[in-house]
Amino acid sequence: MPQEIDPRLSRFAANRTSRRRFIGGGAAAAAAMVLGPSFLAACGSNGGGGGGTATDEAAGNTLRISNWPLYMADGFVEEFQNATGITVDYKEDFNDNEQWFAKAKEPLSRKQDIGADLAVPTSFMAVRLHSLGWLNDISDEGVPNKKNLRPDLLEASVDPGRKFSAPYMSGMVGLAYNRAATGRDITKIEDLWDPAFNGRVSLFSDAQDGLGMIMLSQGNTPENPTMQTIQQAVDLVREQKDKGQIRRFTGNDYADDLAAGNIAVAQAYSGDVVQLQADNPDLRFVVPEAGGTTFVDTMIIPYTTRNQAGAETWINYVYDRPNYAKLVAFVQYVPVLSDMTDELNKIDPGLASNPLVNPPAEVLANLKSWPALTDEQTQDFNTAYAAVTGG
Amino acid sequence: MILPALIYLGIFFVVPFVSLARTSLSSMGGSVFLPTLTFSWNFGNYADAFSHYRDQIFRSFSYAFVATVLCLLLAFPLAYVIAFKAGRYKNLLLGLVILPFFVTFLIRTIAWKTILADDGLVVSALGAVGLLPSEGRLLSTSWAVIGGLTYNWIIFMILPLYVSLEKIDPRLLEASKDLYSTAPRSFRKVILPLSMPGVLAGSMLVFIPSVGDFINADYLGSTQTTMIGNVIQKQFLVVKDYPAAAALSMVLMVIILVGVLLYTRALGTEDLV
Amino acid sequence: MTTQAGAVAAGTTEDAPKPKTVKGGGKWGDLMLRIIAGLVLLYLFLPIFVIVLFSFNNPQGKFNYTWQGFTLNNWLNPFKYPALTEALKLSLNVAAVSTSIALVFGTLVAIALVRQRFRGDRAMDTFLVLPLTAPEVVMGASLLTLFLDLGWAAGYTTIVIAHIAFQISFIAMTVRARVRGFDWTLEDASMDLGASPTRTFFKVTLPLIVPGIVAAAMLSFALSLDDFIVTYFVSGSTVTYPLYVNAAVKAAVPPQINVLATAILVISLLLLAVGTLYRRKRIDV
Repeated sequence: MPQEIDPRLSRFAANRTSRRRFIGGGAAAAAAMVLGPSFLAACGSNGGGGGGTATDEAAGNTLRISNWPLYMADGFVEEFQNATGITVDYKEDFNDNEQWFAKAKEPLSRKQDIGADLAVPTSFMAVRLHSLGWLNDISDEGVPNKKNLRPDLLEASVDPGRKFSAPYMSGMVGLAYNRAATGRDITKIEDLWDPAFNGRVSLFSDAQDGLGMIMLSQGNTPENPTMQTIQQAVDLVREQKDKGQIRRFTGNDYADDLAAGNIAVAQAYSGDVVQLQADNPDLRFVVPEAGGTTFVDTMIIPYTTRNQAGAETWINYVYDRPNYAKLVAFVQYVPVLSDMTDELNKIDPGLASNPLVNPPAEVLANLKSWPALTDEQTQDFNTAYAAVTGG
Repeated sequence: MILPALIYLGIFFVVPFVSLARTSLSSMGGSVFLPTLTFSWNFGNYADAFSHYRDQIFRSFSYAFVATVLCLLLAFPLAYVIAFKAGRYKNLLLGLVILPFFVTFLIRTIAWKTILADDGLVVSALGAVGLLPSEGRLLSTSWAVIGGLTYNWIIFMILPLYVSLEKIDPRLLEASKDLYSTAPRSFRKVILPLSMPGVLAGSMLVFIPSVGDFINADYLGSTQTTMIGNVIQKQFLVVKDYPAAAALSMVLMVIILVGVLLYTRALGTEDLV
Repeated sequence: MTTQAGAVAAGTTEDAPKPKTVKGGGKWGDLMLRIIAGLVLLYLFLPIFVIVLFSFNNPQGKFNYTWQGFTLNNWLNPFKYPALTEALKLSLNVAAVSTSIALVFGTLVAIALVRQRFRGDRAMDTFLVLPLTAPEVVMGASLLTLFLDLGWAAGYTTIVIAHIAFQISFIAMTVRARVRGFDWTLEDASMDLGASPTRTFFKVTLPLIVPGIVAAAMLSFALSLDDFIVTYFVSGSTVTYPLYVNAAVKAAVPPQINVLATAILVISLLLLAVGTLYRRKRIDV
């Protein structure tokens, strides 16, 4: 309470009796007018995603898909709906694998609906969900187009025959750099540690994406990781971090720094660079000499799905080469289907010849993938890397 | 009168909070992704939290403190002018002041990153005058994080200050100017004490969320500026060490509470809120 | 402040209207103050200028980070991303609903805590501060567990409930800043003059603290509109505006985000201007 107020002044305050005017006048009216229409409009469209109890029979044939944002071509969903008669409730709420898992594991562990009949997590997450018993199988009869997959993906060790995860899109994990900022070509991991780039380098905060290529540069391979090889990579990162070499540990959010030139060399995903190059031809993507890694986003069907048949129809539709070409044309990542060159050429000849979308064989040979890790491995590796990324 | 709020918070805050407290004292076992948490008075979690993350704890409080002071210094003149000098444009100005905060955080932050880019006008100008932090840039430094915190929470200082100032009878101020020869004295003796409720509310509404903030450090910080919020995020989402995350959260909450108690005592008020 | 009550009781209301601006303080000091305030206002709007500018940007790729050229296309096609528009409408809805409810809870608490000294009011003070201190990620997860254990599906309702939970504290503290130092004898005087407690509350108390309530409402609305982590956990598959933007930004930053944000700003600005003009007219008449 104001103890120090001069007592002489309180006499002047004595005559203060008139009612305060409403501050509300303008502001409240403004608020009401802004909110009113939107309130009424949104009232009807309430997104009670997880709350319904209708089965797909009762609600008509509906398929709920949960995908990453802007990972879908314009018009694709409408065409699917027209072709199959299935209504698609398409949501772009897949944000980050671990965040999604933290949210989804609660209902899944209780066998409660998660609001999606099909989701698109990254491969390691699909493996985890499968090991927890939370996925339905993707039948071969329901998805005959599975045979269109690239052989290396169809028989990948993480899921031979793709029983529970159907690859959606893949990408390369390598280095992106701003040629104007670096002044030279970047070719190997050691370039990341060039003192000339001190404070202008970014690494991935995800253990697999971040450490994979570093392990390769140290002569180890992520295809067969051990705690020692992981620790070796982690120690190198720590060493560089202490020197101030690394500006940030990023998720997908390196793009703006790269575009602005704040970062000279970044660990990056190929598809992002394709987008950035459209506005800034100085940006390049390269798979390091010692090798890079790949990631694969996969379609999975949770065991709480309400439309198994619809989900499989969707996957089959996606795996039809002409349809898939449309997706690749928009998303501009590396296709998971084989022999896409012809289809891509039909849409846009530039696509098929873009080495980031259609990498040549020798580049593909230099890309390694992580195997399905055990729970303990995942935990240990994540913990080891988290100690450096500052969490 | 307090019953509705009490019941509401009792269910939707206290219950999760108690669960958090339990987890902080539990040990984890069983499978990695569906662990079983057994309550075991495991104060080791707290000891670990303190020993491993002292830096981040200290850093978070420093950043929040600086941000709060900056907010106070910036908000006071603006709130004062709106309260006493704006006349019929009071409401317009108030609306104007809150407008930027209806744009979502991420978009504002991206805009700031554009403005403060390493080779942009602002950084070049500051560099010419020698006012840049040691890294030679503004982004990805502790000052960027503090700047982000200040900008994003300043509205929570401006408005409470305003409502507190606006209550003061302007004739009181005129009288004080007549009675005290200098403006600073008039400020110290009259305005500041009368605006204390606003200062108190504002500083708490800025300081408290800032300590636990993680998103500013994520986007604007560097590898050296991680805050306790980032640690909790990582422990919870990636490392999945739930007892550790819970213990860190409890530590954070308790320290803030103690700090706030001391602060309100220092300001000479008996109550917290 | 018995002299005020005395004045009321005696029925002498102040005849001279209160001045709207404070005179005095020295020309130079006054000018400095206004300049500083103006600079702070500029600081608040600096990123906004950039955002508005970039709504006219013409990027070839999906990211809107570097200036490529001027175009009106984005403005001609603002609803190009229906998911974005839906998410925005939903967030506005959630913010309005949760703010309204939380206002009631919070204001009552604020008034009660200042007016009466009751047992446990110190405890209530501490209790109100706690929700502000809790880190969002753990509270969000705990709330989700609570909801699921109660058998409620995550969605619109749980989002609103979660928002109210943290808004109450913000509102209570903001309203308190106004209610503090309130002359409660005004209420006594009013009731002496024959008004019932309810009438007193609505005719005397409430109008005097309305600025605090409106400020609290604005802050609370902004908070709800911007909340990410807690909303993420309790939203199920419902997508609010911050959720959409946070997710989208990783893949692309369509200029439509800037367009919609600018549109909201412009509309609000126009409404404010209209409101101000309207008041001026009323006063002049």
